[in-house]
Amino acid sequence: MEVAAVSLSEARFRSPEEYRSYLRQILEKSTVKLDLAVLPAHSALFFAWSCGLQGNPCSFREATRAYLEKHEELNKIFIDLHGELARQYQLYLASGTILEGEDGRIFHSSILFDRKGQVIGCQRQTHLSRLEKDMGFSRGEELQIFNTELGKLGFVVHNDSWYPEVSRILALQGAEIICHPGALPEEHNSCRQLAGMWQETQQNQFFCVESQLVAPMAGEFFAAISAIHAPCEMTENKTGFLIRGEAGQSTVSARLDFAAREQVLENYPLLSFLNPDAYRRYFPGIYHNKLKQEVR
Amino acid sequence: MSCWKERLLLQYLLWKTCPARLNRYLQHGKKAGKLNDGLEVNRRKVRAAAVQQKFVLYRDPLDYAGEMRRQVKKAAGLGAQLVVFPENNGLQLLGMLPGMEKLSAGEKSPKNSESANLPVLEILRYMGPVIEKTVRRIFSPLAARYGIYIMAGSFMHPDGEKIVNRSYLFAPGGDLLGTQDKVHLFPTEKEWGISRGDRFNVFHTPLGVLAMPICMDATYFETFRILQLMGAEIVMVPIANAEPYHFYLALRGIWPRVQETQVYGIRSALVGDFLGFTFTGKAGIFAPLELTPGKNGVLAESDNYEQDDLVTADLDLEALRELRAAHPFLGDLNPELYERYFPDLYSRYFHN
Repeated sequence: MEVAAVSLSEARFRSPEEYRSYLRQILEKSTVKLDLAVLPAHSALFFAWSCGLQGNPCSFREATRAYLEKHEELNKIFIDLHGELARQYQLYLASGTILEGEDGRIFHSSILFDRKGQVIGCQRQTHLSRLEKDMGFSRGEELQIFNTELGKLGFVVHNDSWYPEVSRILALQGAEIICHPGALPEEHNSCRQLAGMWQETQQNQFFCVESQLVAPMAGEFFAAISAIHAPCEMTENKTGFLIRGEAGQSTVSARLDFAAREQVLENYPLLSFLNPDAYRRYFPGIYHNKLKQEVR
Repeated sequence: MSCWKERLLLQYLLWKTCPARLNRYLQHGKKAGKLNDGLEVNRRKVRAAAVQQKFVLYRDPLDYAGEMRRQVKKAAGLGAQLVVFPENNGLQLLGMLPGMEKLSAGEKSPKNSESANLPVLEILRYMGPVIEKTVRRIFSPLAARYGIYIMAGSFMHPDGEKIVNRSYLFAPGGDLLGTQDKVHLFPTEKEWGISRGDRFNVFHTPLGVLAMPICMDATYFETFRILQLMGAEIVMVPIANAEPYHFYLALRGIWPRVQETQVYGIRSALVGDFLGFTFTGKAGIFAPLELTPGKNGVLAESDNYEQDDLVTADLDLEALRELRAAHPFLGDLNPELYERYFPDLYSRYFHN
């Protein structure tokens, strides 16, 4: 199976049509037929901001607010456009993230399209950044697995990558491939990324397609490296990277070897050494106790 | 060996490790006094030391005691208030058993060798009481003499019918503050029949809240999350990693756990050869990225993975508290989500 992470670097567009052309170019540049492509976090916001669909906000916070004011309209344009691309290129497409609302609540979410361009799932981010908390975002309440012909797919949406509970819940539900739309401001270094999906891949032994936004947007500059991760034991030089992009690289792609992963799981079944008897003494009560203490 | 010979050997070993003999040895020489007399604690600067210990099979426990004293003295001389020894530190005392040295020296690989057929569990059960007493008799006076906290590393310890891998923490007065059993076993330990623990402990001390899970425990986020939520600020992880050193493989333990849970981490490492196993690893002291000068999560780390070493670093517990309170990404735990999934998933995973 061939997968790609698209960073949106060098994306210069001022209209939905230009954006569509840009993505077509990216997908057509691939020398192999892609089965899955993952776009980065804030992709819908970046799309709307670049196309001038939300005015001319001067800060990231303002851009977010402006998007939220028109989120239904903007999401429809964004979703239609990506559904069409998924259908045209007959691939599964994780189109980055959108901001969606329901009953007055706001969520940061990822959408998955199948080869026919149908939306087959939406995963809401379950842990908020400080900025999102300040802006009144809500947390998603479930973590889903999407059973596809490619295997069992799950999402670790943006900020969820810093919470190991998310990857573990997905892994215990059988996730084989994790899509991670991410966006890190440029002040963070490669160690920050190692502490995210690289290490989640290692402690859960799934594949992960990590797409990181590389773009300036409303006074912020996002710059991190897109990569495709696998357990160290099945990667060249045991790095845990099937491929690791270079700064500013627009796309990275790799083939996922399921047989090799199965071999790793057989030789070193990490999750079989979990100790639920020990956790049961503490989980989940200890989380509640801690939060109560903080409130006090 | 017949029963009376076993008992006789045990009596001999207990004599070799009797308190009077060990004490006389440890007190020998110019008395240094408590190097850290009074243990003044400044939460902005807690100095910790991590030991990287080359494996030696000691026929005489006095030599082992001397080596432990050398490391503690060195750490205390560098101003350390806490010194951390490696996993399986006690295996070095198996050298007291006649023939063990020869057996270990002859082995090139743990598979298909004489040692592969060793009744490991029986040896550990036999030697456990001797080793446990020896550990207490060495580390308690060392903690008292140098006036520092000592995490003595871990030891295979008989506990009723079971054998557990247990770490020990001594206070500056020499008291045993507590122990921690390894909760996640390495496959080889499981094969040997070692039992795993099922609880986590933290220790409230003037230095901060300490914890000491063992090696493989750091592979699983659950360990550090539970300890963090119990209040841990400094998590010591003794390791004895039986695989060739590799940067990325070695990165999979304590380092990501420290980043996930925002604690300080101290890794002590056993290195060298025993029964065909080659242990590698770097002693190191780790912190959240934001609290390290290179923003790489490393305060200090040995520059080799196969020789004796000792590294020290200063931990700023107030800076840690401030970072936790203001971190841009972390601090938004979602208990309702975990409650919805974890109890069922953990059960289901192990029933399928």
